Amino acid sequence: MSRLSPDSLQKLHEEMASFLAPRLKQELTPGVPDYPYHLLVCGGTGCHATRSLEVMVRLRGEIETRGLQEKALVIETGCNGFCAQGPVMTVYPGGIFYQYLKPEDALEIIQEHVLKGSPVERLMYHDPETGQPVYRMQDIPFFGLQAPRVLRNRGLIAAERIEEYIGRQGYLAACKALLEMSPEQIIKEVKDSGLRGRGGAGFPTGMKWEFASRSRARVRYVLCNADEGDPGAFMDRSVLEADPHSVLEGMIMAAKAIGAHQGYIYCRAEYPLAVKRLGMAIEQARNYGLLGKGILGSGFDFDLEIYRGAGAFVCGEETALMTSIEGKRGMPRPRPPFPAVEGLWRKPTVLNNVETLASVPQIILQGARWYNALGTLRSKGTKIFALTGDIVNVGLVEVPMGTPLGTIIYDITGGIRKGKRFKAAQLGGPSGGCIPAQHLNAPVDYESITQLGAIMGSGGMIVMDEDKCMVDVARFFMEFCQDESCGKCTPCRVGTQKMLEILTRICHGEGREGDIETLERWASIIQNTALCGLGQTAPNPVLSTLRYFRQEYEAHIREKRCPAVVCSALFKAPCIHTCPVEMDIPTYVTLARLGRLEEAYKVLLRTNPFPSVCGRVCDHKCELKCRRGTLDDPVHIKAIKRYITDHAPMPRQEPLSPTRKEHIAVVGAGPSGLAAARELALRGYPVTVFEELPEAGGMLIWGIPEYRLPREVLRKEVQAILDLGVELRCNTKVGRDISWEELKRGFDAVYLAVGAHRSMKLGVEGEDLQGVYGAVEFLRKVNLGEPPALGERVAVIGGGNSAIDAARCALRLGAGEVTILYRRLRPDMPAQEEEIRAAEEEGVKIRYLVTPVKFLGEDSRLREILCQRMALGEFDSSGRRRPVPLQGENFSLKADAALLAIGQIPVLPFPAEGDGIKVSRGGLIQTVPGSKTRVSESLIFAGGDAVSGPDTVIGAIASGKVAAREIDSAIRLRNGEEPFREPALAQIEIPAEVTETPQGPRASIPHKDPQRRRKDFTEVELELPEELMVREASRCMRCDIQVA
Amino acid sequence: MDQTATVRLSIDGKEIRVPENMTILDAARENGIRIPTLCHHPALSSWGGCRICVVEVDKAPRLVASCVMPVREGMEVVTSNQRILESRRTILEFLFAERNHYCMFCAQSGDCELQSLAYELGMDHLTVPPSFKEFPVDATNPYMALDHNRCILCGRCVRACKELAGNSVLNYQNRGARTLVCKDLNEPTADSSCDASGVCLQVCPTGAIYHRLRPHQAVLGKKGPLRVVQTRCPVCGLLCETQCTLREENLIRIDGALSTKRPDRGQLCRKGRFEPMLNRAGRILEPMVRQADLSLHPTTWEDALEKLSAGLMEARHRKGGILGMVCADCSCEEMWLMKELVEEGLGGHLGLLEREALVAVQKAFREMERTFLGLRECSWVHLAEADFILLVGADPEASHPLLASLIRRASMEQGAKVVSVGSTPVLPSCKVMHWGVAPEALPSAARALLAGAVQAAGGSDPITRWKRILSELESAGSEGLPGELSEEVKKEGQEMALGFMRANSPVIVAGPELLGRREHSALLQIMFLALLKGLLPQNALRLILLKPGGNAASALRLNCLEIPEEVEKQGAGACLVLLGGDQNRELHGVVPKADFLALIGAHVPHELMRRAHVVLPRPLWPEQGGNYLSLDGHEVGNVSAIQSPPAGLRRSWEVLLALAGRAGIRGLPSDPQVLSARSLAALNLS
Repeated sequence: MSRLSPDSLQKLHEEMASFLAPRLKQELTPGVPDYPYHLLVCGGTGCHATRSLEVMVRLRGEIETRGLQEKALVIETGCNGFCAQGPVMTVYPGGIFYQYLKPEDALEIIQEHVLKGSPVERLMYHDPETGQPVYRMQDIPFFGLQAPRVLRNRGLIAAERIEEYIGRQGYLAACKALLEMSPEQIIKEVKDSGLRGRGGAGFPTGMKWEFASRSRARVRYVLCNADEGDPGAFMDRSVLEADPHSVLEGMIMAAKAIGAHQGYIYCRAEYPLAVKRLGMAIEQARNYGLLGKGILGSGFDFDLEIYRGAGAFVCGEETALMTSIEGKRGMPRPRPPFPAVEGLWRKPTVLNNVETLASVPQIILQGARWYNALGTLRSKGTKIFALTGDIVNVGLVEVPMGTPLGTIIYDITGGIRKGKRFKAAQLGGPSGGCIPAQHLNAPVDYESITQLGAIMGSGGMIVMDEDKCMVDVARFFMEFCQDESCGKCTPCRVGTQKMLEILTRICHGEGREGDIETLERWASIIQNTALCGLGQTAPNPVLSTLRYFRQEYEAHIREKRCPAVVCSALFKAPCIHTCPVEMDIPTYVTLARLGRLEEAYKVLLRTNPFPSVCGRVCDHKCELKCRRGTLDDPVHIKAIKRYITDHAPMPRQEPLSPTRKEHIAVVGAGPSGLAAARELALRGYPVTVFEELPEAGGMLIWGIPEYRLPREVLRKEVQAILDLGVELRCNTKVGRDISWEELKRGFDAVYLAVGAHRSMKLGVEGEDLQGVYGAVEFLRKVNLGEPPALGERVAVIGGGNSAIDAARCALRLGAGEVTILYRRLRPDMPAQEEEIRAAEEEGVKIRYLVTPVKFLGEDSRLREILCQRMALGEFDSSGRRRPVPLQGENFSLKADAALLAIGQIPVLPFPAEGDGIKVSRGGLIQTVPGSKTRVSESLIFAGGDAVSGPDTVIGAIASGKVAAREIDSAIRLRNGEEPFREPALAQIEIPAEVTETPQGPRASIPHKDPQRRRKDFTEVELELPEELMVREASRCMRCDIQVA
Repeated sequence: MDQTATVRLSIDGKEIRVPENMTILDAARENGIRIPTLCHHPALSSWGGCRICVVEVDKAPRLVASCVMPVREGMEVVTSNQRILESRRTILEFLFAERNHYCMFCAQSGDCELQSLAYELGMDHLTVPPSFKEFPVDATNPYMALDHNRCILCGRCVRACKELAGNSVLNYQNRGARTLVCKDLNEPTADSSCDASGVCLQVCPTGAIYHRLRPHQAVLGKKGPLRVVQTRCPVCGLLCETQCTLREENLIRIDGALSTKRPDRGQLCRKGRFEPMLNRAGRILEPMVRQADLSLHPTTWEDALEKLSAGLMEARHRKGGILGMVCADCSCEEMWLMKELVEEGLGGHLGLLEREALVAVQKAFREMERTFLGLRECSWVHLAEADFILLVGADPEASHPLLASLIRRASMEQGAKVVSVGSTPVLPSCKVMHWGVAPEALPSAARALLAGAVQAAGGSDPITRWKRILSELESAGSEGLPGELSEEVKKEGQEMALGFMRANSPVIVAGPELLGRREHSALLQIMFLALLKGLLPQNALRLILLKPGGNAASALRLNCLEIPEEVEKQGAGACLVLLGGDQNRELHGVVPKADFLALIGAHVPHELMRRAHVVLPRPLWPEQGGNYLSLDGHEVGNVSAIQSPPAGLRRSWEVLLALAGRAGIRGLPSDPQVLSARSLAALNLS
């Protein structure tokens, strides 16, 4: 190696460019070897951890034993970015991408790909939708949708060879800046490019340089901040590992711009590979005369040192970083004076982040206009994000500024793992904040992110799914901040500690009224009085979670409940906590395992009046949070519950004689009304239930088809409630058979559980044609035994459980062809996945991204549906993509009947807005603030679907129980009585033992054969055989046992 | 005329004009607007940590710390509104809630800045729940303790240790809420490099660092009249300005004058701050004479004086005659009166107890007088701006801790090079280049240094003269030098001398290992070395001699260092010893045997007590004051008495005058002022 002159640099560049040429060739003819092959194995920290070095050794070994050295070259690159799939490798020409490599795959790759020219499909990325292998890296959405600029060399060059960097135009920018440009020109170019600091604050880089260049001091410094410390952030590390020279080159230009001759890279010692590669890069650059005296013969001197930080987060703050380089304890200093005036050793200093500096060479080489063509009005260029958390593809992405958040999360990184819901993205680390689902459309740029209460930060993005508790997240970040506070200023040192104490208390269920307000007050004081950025931003995670998830804090404080089921101090087991009526799942599962079914049934009835119903039609949210699910599959709680109720005799409940004088009316004998009636009766109240239809059961009987819930099961449990002494008056409609006023006069309290029995209309032409029915009305008719004639072809509109029920009933009624029209995609369907699958098995067709726009008929009878094809557009407030019509994409569908299942509203027994009861625009009854069921000053309560809209059975039961409790306590409060005391439960001994079962999938529930079952209404789901039930129950990990 | 630019700004609506670079806090204080502070201290650098002094600037939502924020043209500052007060109060509550600030149990209650801020900001209860974590207490130092439970991490002590004491013993350990002030690498004070200057104690705003000698004597927290007396500390000759606080006659605190202009920046060392307050058990409080039973018995002043003067008169003509001895801690007045009494009045000799520590000095000065008339030591303040400090046989930390701190600071702040030649390494917490030289080899080292310096200076004219003198000295072979210097010694000396000669303002500090030598040639060579670099104003050599005691310079002037050789060997007829030191410390010298021995002192070593015939009590320096000559002889310090002596005690000059009266010596002034003037005149210092 010898010192380079501008000419020899150019010559070296040309030589190396032709060496690298095969790596730019994207074309490939399968089956025809195209030598030489460059095998680019990822050598980032992530892939090292998954043994990429061994893969490399094996590949080299195979090449050597076959004497292929001339034909195939193995190169260790820096981080490729697709870290979750590591070790990864790209083979050029062609850019064939391999993932999850193992050392033993080397043989096949050499034999097939190198020798025969046939890439190994087995090792490629497979499209999750189609299951097809994707050959070229560029065709993988993760890569294809990115715009690599800073990362332009990632996975493409050997990170430890300066020559390959030069082959990719390396140091040509430095050459231009040193020999052809004045400092003013460099600064102007950077200013014009609009480049802003990528460390987080987004200060315009050119302006920073200009300030420092104006100083009259003789000695100045250029510093690179590589003290990346945000949890989940690894952008800088990857740049340093993959392309260290781009940072050095950026620093040379910064030095020239401000007139500095010495620079430091402050890199955390926890990045040994980055430090090693930086050290090698500096050494190589010095050997070529690209650092040191008279760089490239320009007469400009600049040299660099690496300073290793000891892992203090605060040393990422500029003044603390400088104090640390000075050899002192890394504590921030007050500003002013700003570093551009008095920085390192009180000399003018420019400090830039790794990514900022690595952006500069391209700006100088390609010009400001090329750079600022990408981005938004005030945020130019691209930004690298390190994506971690609950996403499918963890890794590093570089996208243009202004790319919507949803695009990054769903399109590039493949969305949320295990099909869960997106809850929030945490940007900016401990200084940042959360962006919730309703802002998935937000463009990611400095201003928009700040407006949403987060910060761009250095680019760490932690994606969280529905299973994350936001109070816990805030507590985590606060713990981080208070731990990393340098201790210098009071607000940061003590304030964060005190805020953490409150947050910890809340997470432990010891939150108090006023805690939220105290947090907000302290947060604002800390923000406004702390010395440095660390303290000033430390409250951000709390404030941003409070902004979007205040109700989660309130649930922790007021109800001692963690909605995401994370804060384990608040519950015995996740399943219990998830269940709306808090069924004691581990207990009855254990009893079932031990064969003590009768006792198990008693446990079921303690909290749930309809256990056998729930054993069949519950949406079993408990299983979603079952910890066994993190190991293999959740325990089949629903099936165990059904087994108990099917095999044990129902425990007898003696009739109760009322002990109280207050008489309660319940309107509607659905699950909510009956649950309330039972709870009230147990508390000693005489209860009368009014039901419009001939039989009690509500939606359970009139909505859910019999093939899902056999009627005798339901009747048994309804009868048990009536046996307690509850009076039921069927065929009695309030407002028709008994007036609303009469009801209020005759009873001390009224519980409205009228359900939502009217289907919503689409609001399109032709909806009143014969053959167009509401799904609820249709199901009611079917269950009353008076099904309408549907004809041959039936279309069902909607994607919820009602749609599926309607479709499957239509099939059973003899329709030849049943098609569900849904306007979004399957993952967005509200219906339960197993229901959808069962419908498909029976022959129901589902057409996605379709919505009816017109019903066409002949002789006022439906004949045809004009449909509009849809596409998914922006995200709506629920975090799902909104369907938008595809212009000109219409088609018509022949149909003899259409069933509308797009939503239901209640039919209220009283005039709208009567009695001060508020009704929402959607037709739902609204409760008064502070109560879940009370709807008016007088003792009128409401619950179930009439309040929540169409919900689950268990949700209705829960609201009935809440209503009973609220009615009871309202009456007692009015009378000045003591609150109700729960009677002691009969003790049921269960062993506190954990059975260990080997890992493996859960039992699948047997179903009747689809071809047979589609003909009648007999029950489709069959019960679990005893042996399987016991095995399922043994899989319970007994989270309820406390280990002292 | 000073052309400092000024800026105009408004504080609380008041338009003011102040010099630029001023902080908002200073601007406000200068204009009578009070902003509370806690971590700020005028004698220390700005820190901006506690955030109590936050103010609003230009209506910005973010408040700024006024103690570190410079003023700016047109700035609009609001120092007090509801938001600011709420922030301050919350921050104050944070501090109270962080550790265990339960004022009623704190020794510092009433004298605590944190507590008075609570009153000022109306914090009558805590809304922030306090933590009940217990922190350690470091009580390994006898003078002061560090109680982390009361620490608010304001960092004043850390800055004072670094910026005033130049010691950097204190720093922080851990992070966040676990942050603790620590010493060195988390050593207990006793094992640390702390030299107990106590400057940290003086600046601590709470009871975190507290006085162990007066642990329940908060200055403001107790009833009783308080008195603050400004005086100088006479202990080591640096005459530091001190502030003594007394409640009635009890000395409860000695502080340094942190607002001083002196280069020591107003610190005190352990000798000035703590030692005067040590327990005075064993103090002599009444006259005693040896009775027929051969033991000492208390008696009246008249009886004691009678016995004493009789003993002296009787011994006047006996062999050996009368010997007077003073201690280097005696005041100018005491020394002069002793000289008048013993030498003029009784025809005897006056000598210094610590004479052995200064043998070479006396001889060398005499020699210097012969060759270069009128040369003197330089003032110790030159150390503050020195860029090269050569320590020869000196350990300033032991003898003159304040000078040690000046040296450390010069090293730290100006990068002064510190080189030490001597038997043991010194100044452990300073970057010192140590040349280990055994006491017997010190002359060789001195010679090597001088030789190197001469070589470095080249052959210019004055140099030849020094060379001649040098060769004369060598040929005299004054200290039996072991022939030629080894090459190694020569080389080392050469290098050091080169550094000395190249420096802009080097200073040599010579200590006991050099000053106490029988032969003075080594000291002379060091003097020549200083001379080679040229003189400072007032004919001062670049040399400071670390003499023992607080007033050795006066003894040197009175020429009373030595005593005649035959007396030294065979003893005196009578010996009158005036002990100046407060403490019962080891004497620096030997009292020759005498037929009649009389002592005046506050504490008398047991060995002397056994031999004494008459013992008279003497007040301590805070009780009688007096003039003292500084270490370098450049300054006279008037040490005022700050409290009255215990009942029944007489001031030593009264005793000496009474003795003179009994001996029939006339003409000594009885008026204290005249006495002071006469004594200074005798020292050529009037």
